[in-house]
Amino acid sequence: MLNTKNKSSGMNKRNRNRLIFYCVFLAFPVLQFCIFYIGVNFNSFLLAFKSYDYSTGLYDWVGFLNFKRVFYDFEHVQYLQMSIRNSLLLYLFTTLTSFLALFFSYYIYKRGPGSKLFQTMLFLPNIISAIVMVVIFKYFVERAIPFVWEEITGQEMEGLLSNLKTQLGTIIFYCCWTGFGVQMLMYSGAMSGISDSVVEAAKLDGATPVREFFSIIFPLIYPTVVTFLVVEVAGIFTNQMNLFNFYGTKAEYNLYTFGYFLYTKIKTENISGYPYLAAMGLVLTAVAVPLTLIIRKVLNKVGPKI
Amino acid sequence: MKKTLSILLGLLLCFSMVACKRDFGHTEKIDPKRTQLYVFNYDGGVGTEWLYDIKARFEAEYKDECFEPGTDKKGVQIMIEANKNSFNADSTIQSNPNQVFFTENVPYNELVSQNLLLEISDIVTDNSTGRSLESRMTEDQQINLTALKGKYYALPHYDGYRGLAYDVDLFEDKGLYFAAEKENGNNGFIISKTDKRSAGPDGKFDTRDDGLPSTLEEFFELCEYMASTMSITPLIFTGMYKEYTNYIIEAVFANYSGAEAVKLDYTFDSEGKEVEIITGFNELGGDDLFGATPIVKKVVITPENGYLLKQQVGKYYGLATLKKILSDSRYFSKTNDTVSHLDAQEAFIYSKLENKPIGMLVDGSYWVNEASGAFERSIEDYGKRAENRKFGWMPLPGVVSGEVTEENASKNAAKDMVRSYAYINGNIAGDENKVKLAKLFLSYCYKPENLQKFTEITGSPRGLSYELTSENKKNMSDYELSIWDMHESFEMVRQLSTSKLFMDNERDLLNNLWTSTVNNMPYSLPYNALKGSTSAMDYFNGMRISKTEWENNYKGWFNA
Amino acid sequence: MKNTHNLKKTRLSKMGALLWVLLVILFLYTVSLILPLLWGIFTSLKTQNEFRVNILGIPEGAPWNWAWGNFVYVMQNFYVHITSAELGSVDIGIEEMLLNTILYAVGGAFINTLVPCVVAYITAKFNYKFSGVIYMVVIVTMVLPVVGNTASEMQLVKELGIYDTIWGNWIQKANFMGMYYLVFYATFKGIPKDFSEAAYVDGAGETHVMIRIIFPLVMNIFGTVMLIKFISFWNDYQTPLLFLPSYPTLAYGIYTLSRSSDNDLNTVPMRMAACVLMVIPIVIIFAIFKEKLMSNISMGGVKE
Repeated sequence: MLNTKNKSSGMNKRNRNRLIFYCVFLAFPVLQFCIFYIGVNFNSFLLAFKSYDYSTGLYDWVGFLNFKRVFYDFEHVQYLQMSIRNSLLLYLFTTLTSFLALFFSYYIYKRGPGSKLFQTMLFLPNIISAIVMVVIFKYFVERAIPFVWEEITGQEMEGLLSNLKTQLGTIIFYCCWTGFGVQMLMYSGAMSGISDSVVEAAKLDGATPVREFFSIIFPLIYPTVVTFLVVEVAGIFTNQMNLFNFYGTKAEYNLYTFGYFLYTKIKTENISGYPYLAAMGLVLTAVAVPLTLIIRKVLNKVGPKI
Repeated sequence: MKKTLSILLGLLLCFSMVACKRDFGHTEKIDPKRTQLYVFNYDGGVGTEWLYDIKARFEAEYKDECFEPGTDKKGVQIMIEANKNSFNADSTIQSNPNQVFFTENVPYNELVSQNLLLEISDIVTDNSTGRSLESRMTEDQQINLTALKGKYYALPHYDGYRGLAYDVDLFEDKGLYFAAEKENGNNGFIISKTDKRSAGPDGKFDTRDDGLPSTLEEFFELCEYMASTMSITPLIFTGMYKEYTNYIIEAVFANYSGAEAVKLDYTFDSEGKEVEIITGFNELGGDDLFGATPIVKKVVITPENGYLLKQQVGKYYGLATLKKILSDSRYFSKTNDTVSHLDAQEAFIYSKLENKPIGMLVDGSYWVNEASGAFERSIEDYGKRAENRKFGWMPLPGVVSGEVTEENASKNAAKDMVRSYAYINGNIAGDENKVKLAKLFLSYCYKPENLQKFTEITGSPRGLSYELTSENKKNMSDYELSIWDMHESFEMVRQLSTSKLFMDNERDLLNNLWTSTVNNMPYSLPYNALKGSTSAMDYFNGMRISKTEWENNYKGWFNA
Repeated sequence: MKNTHNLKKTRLSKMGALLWVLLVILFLYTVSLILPLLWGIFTSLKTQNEFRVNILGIPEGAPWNWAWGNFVYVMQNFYVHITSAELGSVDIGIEEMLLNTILYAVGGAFINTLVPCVVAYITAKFNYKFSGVIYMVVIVTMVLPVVGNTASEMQLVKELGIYDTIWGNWIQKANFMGMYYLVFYATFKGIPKDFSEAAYVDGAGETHVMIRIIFPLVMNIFGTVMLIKFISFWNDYQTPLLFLPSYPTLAYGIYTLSRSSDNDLNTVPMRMAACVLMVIPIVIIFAIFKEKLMSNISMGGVKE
C-alpha cells in the first residue's frame, strides 16, 4: 500500500516514479475533463442562480429563487410526484432485471443447451438501434397482440400502449425486455474469470447448481454486481424509460420519470426556462450523489464474503 | 463455418451496394464565377418546390449584376439546403453557414433577444413597390414583431390552419349537406343535389361553406346522420400523435371565443373589455347540448388574474366537443399508437375507394402535401376513380346551437401553431456584400407577384395580406381555394405578445395550456383523459389554477 | 498468462431444477424477440399497398415475388445531401458513409474505452486523495443533468479548431466519465497484487506493469466495453449531425431517410427495409467478433 512508510531509498525512488507515472497518465484525461466538461458546463450550473431578461438578452442573478420554485413544485406539481413514483417503480424492475441477468449469465457460464444462441439473443436488442426496436415493439403490442386476442376470444381489445391502464406496465416491460444485454455480458465476463479449480473443488464436494451459484459464483463476482446496482441507483434520476423513443417530447404526465422530465424539458424549454431546470438538476444531484455513495457503502458491507 | 458465412454475407452486402449504386457527387457545384447565397428551407408543410421556382427566376434576373465588388464575379447562385432539421431555440444558428432561413416553430423573441437575427426593418418598411410589407401585416403582427427592440427581424412565412378536412366528393354523393329548409323530412339534410343548402357557419348564402354545419349541434347531427343512416365513419385521426386531437378543441375554442379572447392567453390583458368565464355548472339544467349548463360570468383580464383564462367558456366547449366525439365509438375510425398521421391520411384517401367511407380528417391544412405519396398509390390501385379527388376545409362551428345568422355566426378565428418565419442569419452582419444580397433575395421572395406565386404553388397563404389574381386561382385546386377563403375571412392569432409575463414563461404557458388534474391524475393532453370516463366538465374544472399557484408559478414576474 | 477455461458443457440430463427453469425462460425470451424481428423483416418485404391490408402476416406469394425492390429503392435513395461553403451541394453516397461510420465508431469506441480504462487502473491502484476525487467526479457527472450546453460546446469546439474533423471528435470522446469507469475500477480492484509484485521485483516500471501485465488480464472486459461503445456510436446520429456535418454516417443517413420528404420512403415497409439494411452490417461484424469478444471459453480472465 502506498501509505505504508518505507524507509529504504529504493522504495522512495519507486514512490517518486509512481507519482510521476500517476501524473503523466492522468494529465490528459483530467485536462480533457476540465475543458470539455467543466469548461463547457460551468455556465450551465451558474444558470441555476440566474434568470433571463429578454430586454437585455442577458442572465441576471436572482439567488435562490429558482430553487424555491423547485421545492414549491415538488409539493404542488402532480407530475413531479408522478415522476417520483415512476422512477422508483422503474428502479425496482431494473434491479429485478439485474438479478435475472445474473441467473441468465450463470446459465451461459454453465454452458447449458443453447447457451450460445441465448447469449446472442440477449444481446441483440443492444445491437439494433432503440428507435427501430421501439417501432417493432409498438406494432407488436398495438396490432399483433390485440389481433391474436380478438381471434381467440372474439372480444375487442385495446392496444397495450393505447390503454391507459396497461401503458406504464408495457413500457416498463419493454425496458426490462431489452435491458439484459450489457449486464449479461459483464456478468458472464466476470464469471469466466473465476478460477476453474474453485469450481471443480466445489463439484467434488457435491454442490448442486443452486448451491454453487449462491456460495461460489455470486460471492466471487459480487464487485461487478455492486457496480451495476450502484449505477441503477443513479438511474433513478436519469433513466428516461425509453419515453423519448416512444413518444418524442409528448409523453403523458402519468408516465414521467425524472430522467424524461429533464430531458424533454431541456429539449422544449426556451432560454428563460433553463435556470429552473438547472436548479432542478442540482437539487436532484444533491439527493442522488449521497444516496449512491451510501448504497455503495452498504452493499459493500453486507456483501457475501468468501 | 460461421466466419465463412459472415464473410460471404459481407461480400454480398458490398456487392449489392455497388449494384445499387447511383451517381453521387455534386448536385450543384460551386460556380466560382458567381456569388453564392445559402438558403435553408424546412422541408415539411409547404415543401421546397416554391423555393426552386424563385431560385430560377432570381438567378436569371440578376445574372449580370455583381455582388462582390472588386472581383469579376457576376450573378448569384442560390444554394438550397432543404431538410427537416430544425433550429428551434438553438443558438447553433450562429455557426450555420446558411444565410437566409425559412423555418417553423421559430422562437422569435428568444432569437431576437440574443442578437442571432439580422435586422431587416428596411425591407419591411420599404414602399417603393407602392405598398410596404409592414402595411400588409396586421397591427398585432407589427406590434409583436417589434416588441423587443423596436425593429423587425423576421417576416411571417406561411399560415397553416389546423382542424378538419372533408371529402367533398363523398359529401356531394351522399348529400351530407344541411338544407335551407329545416323541416324537409330528411333530418334537415338535402334530399337531392339541387336542394337549396343552408347558409353554413358564416350565416351567408352562396358562399363556399353553404350546407356545412353551422352549430355544434348540427355538427353532431351530421355525425349521427353519417354513422347511423349512411354507414359512414365521420372522423379519422392519428393515434401516434395524439396531440392532433387538440386541433378540434382549439378550433372550437377559437371560433367560439373569437380572436380577441384567444389572444389573451398570450397578452393577459383584455384592455378593459369583458371576457366570459365559467364559474360553475348547473348539472340539473341539462338543456345544453353537452349536458350540464355552464354558469357564465364576465370579467376583465389583467396579468394579476390571468389564471381565470383557464375557465374561458370557449375552452369548455372545445373539450365538450372532443368528449362527445370520443364517447361514441361509431364517430371515429379505430386508432392506436401505430397509426401515424400519414397512415390516417392514407386511410382517409382510400376509404371512399374501398367503399368504407370516412367523412373527415383531423389534420393541418397542408396535409395534401404530406399525402402526395398516398394519392399516387391510390391512383395505381384504383385508376381513374382515384384521380381528381375533391376535398375541402371544414370550419368547426363556434356556436353551440340555435339559428345562425350573419350577426351571431362563429367568430372566425384560428391559432397559428406553425409559427413559421423567414429571417436572415445575424452572423453575416459584418459582411456588407452578403447582407445586401441576402436582403435583396428576401425582399424578392416577398414581392407581390411572388407572394401570389407562392400561394399558387404551395396552396398555402403567406401570413400577410394580399390578393390573388383570377389567373392564380385558376391554377389552384378547390381544396386550396377553401384554405385561401380561410385566409381571407379568419383572423389568425399568433403566439407572440409584448407581455413580459408571457415572454418570461413562454414555453411553460404554451405547454400547459390544456393541462389538468382529474382525480389526482395529471394530464397534459385532454384526449388521454376524455377517451376514458372523465367528463369534459371534470377535465375543465381540473384545469383551474388558484391565485396562489398562479403567483407562485410565475413568481419572477410578480416580484419584479 | 492465458488460462483455458475447461468447464464442460452441461447436458440436458444433468441439469438441475434451476437450469431447467432458466432454460424455459430463456427459450420464451428468444421466441418473444424473434417474432417481432421476423415481423420487421417480413414487413420490409411488402409493398405499402400490401401492408395496408396484411399487417401481420408473411408477404403474399413466393419469396422471389416479395417486394425485394424496397431494398433496391432504399439503396438508391440512401444518400445525404450536404451543403457547405467549401463543397457546394453534394450528395454523399453509402460507401463514404460507411467509411465515416467506421472512422467515427471504431476510433471513437477505442478512445472512449481506453481512457476510462487507464484512468480506472490508475485511480484503483494508487490511493492518492485525488483518486477519490475522480471517483466522486464520475458519480456526480453520471447523475447531474446539464442544461442547454450545446451552444457553448459548439463554440469551444470551433475555437479549438476541431469542429467538423474526425480526430477532433475523438478528442471530444476522450473522457473517462460514465458507467464503464466504474466497471473497470471494480475489475482492477479485484486483481490481486501478486500479479504486479512479481514484475516489480524483476525491476519493471509502472508503464510496463500496466500495459504488459495488467491490461492483458482485462482484455476481454476491454473488448466487451469497446463492442458496446462501438454499437452505440454505430447507432448514434445526433453527434455527427451536430459536430461532423461534413462526415455523415450511416445512422445519420437512416435518420435523414426517415425524415425524407420523398413520399415513397415514408412508408412503414420502406422504413423497415432501411432499418434492416442498417442492422445487417453490424450483425455481420458482431458475428465475426462475437467469439472473440463474448466467448468465455478461451479468453484469459482475471483468475483468483
